[in-house]
Amino acid sequence: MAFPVLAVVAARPAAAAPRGGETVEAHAGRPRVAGAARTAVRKPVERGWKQMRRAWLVVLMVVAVLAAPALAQETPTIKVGAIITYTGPTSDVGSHYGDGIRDYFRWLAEEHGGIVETAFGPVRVELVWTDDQYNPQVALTALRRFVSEENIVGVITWGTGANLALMDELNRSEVPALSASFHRGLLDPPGQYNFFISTNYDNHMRVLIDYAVNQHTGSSPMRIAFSVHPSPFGRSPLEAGRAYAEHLGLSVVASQELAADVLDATGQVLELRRSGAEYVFFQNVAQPVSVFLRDARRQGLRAQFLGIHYAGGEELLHLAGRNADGFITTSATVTWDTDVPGMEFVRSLNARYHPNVAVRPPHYAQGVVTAMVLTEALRRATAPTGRAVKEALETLKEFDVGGVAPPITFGPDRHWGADTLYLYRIDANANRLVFIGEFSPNYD
Amino acid sequence: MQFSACGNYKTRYEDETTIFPNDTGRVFVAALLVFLATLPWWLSPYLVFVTTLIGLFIVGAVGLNILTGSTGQISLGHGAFMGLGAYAAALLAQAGLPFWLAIPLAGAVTAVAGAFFGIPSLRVKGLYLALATLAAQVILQFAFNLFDSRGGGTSYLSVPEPTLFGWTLDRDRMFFYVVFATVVLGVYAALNLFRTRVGRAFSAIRDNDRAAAAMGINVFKYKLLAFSIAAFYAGVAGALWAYASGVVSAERFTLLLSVEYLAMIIVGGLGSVLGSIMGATVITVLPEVLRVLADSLSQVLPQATHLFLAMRFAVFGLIIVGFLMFESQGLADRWRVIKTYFNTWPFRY
Repeated sequence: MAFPVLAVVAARPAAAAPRGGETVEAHAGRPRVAGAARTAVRKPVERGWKQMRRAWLVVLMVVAVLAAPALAQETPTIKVGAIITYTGPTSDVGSHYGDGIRDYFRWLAEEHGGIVETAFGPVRVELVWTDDQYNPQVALTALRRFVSEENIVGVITWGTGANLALMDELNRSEVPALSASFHRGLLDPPGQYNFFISTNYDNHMRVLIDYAVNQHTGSSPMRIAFSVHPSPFGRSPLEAGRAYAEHLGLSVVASQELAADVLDATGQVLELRRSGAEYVFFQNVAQPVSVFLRDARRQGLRAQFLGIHYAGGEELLHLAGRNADGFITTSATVTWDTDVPGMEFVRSLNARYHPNVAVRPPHYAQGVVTAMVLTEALRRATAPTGRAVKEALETLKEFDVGGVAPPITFGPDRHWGADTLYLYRIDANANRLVFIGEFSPNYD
Repeated sequence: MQFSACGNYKTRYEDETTIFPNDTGRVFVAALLVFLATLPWWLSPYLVFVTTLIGLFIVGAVGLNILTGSTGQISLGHGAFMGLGAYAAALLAQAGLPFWLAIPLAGAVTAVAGAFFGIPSLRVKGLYLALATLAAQVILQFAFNLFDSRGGGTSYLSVPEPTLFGWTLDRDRMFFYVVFATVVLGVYAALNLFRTRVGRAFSAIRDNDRAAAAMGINVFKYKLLAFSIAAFYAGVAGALWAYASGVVSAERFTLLLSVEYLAMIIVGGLGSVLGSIMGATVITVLPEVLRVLADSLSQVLPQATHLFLAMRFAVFGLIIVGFLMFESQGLADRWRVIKTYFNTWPFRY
């Protein structure tokens, strides 16, 4: 360690060197010498001083050159990637997720110098990331760039569409991905390079349907409707939801699609009012759901609204306000004001890097948790390769994330992190999300 | 060999239709082809992939330029036709057809669809035709949702890696040559199309379709032909895209892609094959460059991430507007001006 320290100390006069002779006296490090130069005959002393500095500079450069390989040898750098959605459809919640990931790695770099103690010695972890615009081709191009030019050993991704496009490439280049998408198809066939931290969307949907059935009084069969995002993400739990509803003897009266940039949902709301839907299940992001809720209130659609994870949590409450009152949402992570040690950390991260953002939806915490899980896998990895990181991920058993999400367990054939999920009800009057409980699907 | 001519020394009408007026162009193109063929051996896989993308968008843009630039029929469905080709190729590949059969067959399927959606072109023109072809975009995009190989109605199809004589053409390197060969073939065919009776009929229809009809050109037949040729190119581009990415998703083939195609031929130069090549290159590379710029800027200044990412679109828009204002004839015309300058260089009049 002697070399790097020397290099850091030595860097100070080197930085001052290119300045003119006059600035020497202003240099805090050498007050006495500067004072002497002033009182004595100025020119010759100054010249001598200049020469000395030049000699110093040469010495320092030699030291720096010697020290550089020593530094590099001590902590090799390994890179992880993030391909996230900051612009385009679903970016309203995607940007929170991205901020969570980036803030975690920024904190790691600032607090620990990015150093992670792995099974093969300490490494410096560096995050490379890009915005995929919710476009699978862009995500694929980015992944190829990260794999071939940055040699990433793991990647955090966002949307279902992008992840489906990346699957083959991930398996071919042997880079594990932790996706924000909980699409069942990503884990089929099991044991490949895709992971996600919650249970799949189908199970989220089943929990919501179960909850609705348990609450339901009155009409029989109960009339339900689905409203989904027109994308692989949206359609993902549709089939399972329909099958489960049929299994329970419910009547599915409508199945609609609601685009991310929709400004008016009156048509959809009126259809549901006509068909007498009592429960509407959303698989969408916050913005279109808030538009739907506004028009539902306007048109007097009296139904219970329920949504999966990305329907928004705090984001939906923020966008829809009073219209979101009573909305039930599943979540893979806890809400902002939950009193658990992990959330303390998440809140401190946000306060540190985004002091002007007061409240975040669960996707920020989800980003932090995902980054923590990937870092833990790096810690356990036996070699700096994607395959080793994948195998390390598979050793996670009941990995505690400070209560932000259920403990995470992966295995060779189990690439979903948890079997349970949280259920919340939006309470617009108290301006917060009320915890209902932790649920797991009542289905095999 | 003759490398330049200071004046017009053409003595026969055939001289007017030569592709290369002198040997400079031939040597240049030969050198360029040799250079391009070496790319996969020294570029990183990422850059090879970007080059592959440029190649397949060139094929698509050449097709659209035949329809819009040379026959004067605007199409807002080109992106969907590319998607149709991609889905057709994926289905054919899954059925076990080799890629050298699946790609042209996908093109043929798309050509039939293109001719079908081109039927309204006999009655409607201009903006009305744009709307009629927009219908093709919407209908096809809806149809893509019927396909699914990865669960949950996700409109996804996986494509197996192409093989030739039991030898896998890996997507990182060898597939580049398939795209490369297709581009050469497609460009060669397009250049020669305009030296034939069919190509002249297209130009006549673009300039004035009633006058063309009066001259005895079967306007309806040639319009449909133009639509199906353009769709064939788009279908081949889509099939190449399917093989290059390994998975087909409807999300790529939206109206935005159709508009990108129009941007390619406008930036490159309407009615010029060379323009299609240049336009496709610029429109494919530009967002990639802007993305890398925005990423590295926001890595330096993490606070301003959202600003940089949003700026990217604004810069892209400004560059397109700049092209329209200062290069309204397209990049191909600028290239012609440069060539003309060097025709007499260094001994100018």
